[in-house]
Amino acid sequence: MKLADMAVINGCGDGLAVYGLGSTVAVILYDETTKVGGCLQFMLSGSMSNPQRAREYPGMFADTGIALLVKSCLAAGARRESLTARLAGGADLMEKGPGYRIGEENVTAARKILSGLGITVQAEATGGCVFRTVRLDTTTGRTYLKRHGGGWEELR
Amino acid sequence: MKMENRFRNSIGRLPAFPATVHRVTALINNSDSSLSELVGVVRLDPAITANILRMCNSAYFGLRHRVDNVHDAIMYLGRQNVVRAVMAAGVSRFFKDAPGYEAEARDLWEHAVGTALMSQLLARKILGREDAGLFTAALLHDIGKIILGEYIHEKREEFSRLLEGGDRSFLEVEDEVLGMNHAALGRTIAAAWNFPLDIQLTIAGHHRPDQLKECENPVPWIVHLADQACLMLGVGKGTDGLAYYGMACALGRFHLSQKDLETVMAEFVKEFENARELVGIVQPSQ
Repeated sequence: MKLADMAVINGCGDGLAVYGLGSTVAVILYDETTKVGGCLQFMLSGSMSNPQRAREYPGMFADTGIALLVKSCLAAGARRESLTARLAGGADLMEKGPGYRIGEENVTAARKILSGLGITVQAEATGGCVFRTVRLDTTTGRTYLKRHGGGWEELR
Repeated sequence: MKMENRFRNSIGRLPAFPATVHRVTALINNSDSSLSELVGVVRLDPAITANILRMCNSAYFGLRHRVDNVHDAIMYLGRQNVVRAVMAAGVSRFFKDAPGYEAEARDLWEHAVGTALMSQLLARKILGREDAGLFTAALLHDIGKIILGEYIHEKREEFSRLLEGGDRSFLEVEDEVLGMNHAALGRTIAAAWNFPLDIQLTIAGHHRPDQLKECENPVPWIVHLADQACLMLGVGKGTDGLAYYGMACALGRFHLSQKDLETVMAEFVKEFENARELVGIVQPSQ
């Protein structure tokens, strides 16, 4: 999946994957009852300062992206009350300082928006200064995570 | 054999840098040169010719109609864009897999192009103009990895152990284990390819522009920021990862806020999409 993009899969298929998550965050939604799953890779926490970009690329921001992801999952047959979320990414560079908390702010925004929508975050691998790759198997709903330099492990 | 000699041998084994690239740059910088001279030089290199035609039809260069010959390509691109296109076409052939960075040639190239595009967006904001020299320096900033990657792979267990603590940058571990880092090695490669000193220094200082003698020059700082922004966005799948000292003062130096950086990142997505032909000239390994 590309930057600022999202995808939804209904049932079977190859699943969804996001490679090389740095400060960007992957939001994975899954409905176990209907096997509908979706994934978004957003870059920035809020669209307020850049409404024009948000219209062009709603997946770029946490607020517009998550709203669209939920809507798309429901349109693909997911049930709102069965949707659960997993988060990955939101890392930052080693040294903290002005301008370098984008990852942290992204994770905080995602948690807050999902909580406001009543969607439980079941698992997350966020923060630190490590690159991650994440993959959703839509037939089982299992999510797998790979850290840069490591092997695959289940995210739970 | 001493590591230093092994590095020197590896650089010696690289294919010769295409003379066409430097000849085109010299002609572009000479206001007396003619279009037909430029066309004549570019046509001498079939690989560069093919890539220029492919690239100049990308949305990035924004030409209104399809171009199918070098003469029209150069005429419509404009001088600065010709430098960018020829440089990208000439440099791309050197990108190869770098196992020590868990990066394929395509990943390294994607990161190089991403950083070059990001550097132009930052230059517009900081300097009020784009800069073809900056584009070249950004494109080449990690060129040392094409050689160092093999040596890191040989010592991968030692690298993993030293990086595990999370208190060392990847660059520091390169120095500690190999006595050389990819920025310094990149400078040596750029010197062997006869790039000007300012480009060599930008490559050498892209992780630590504060350590350069002439640290007032904005170019190394812009490449440094562009590199970091691309790493944060995962452009090129990370390469040496986020084990990178952020140099928090880089933004402050140009009086940029986090919001400014976010605006540049937001602009980058479209720019990067428009440049997919540029990214596509290095294919994934078989």
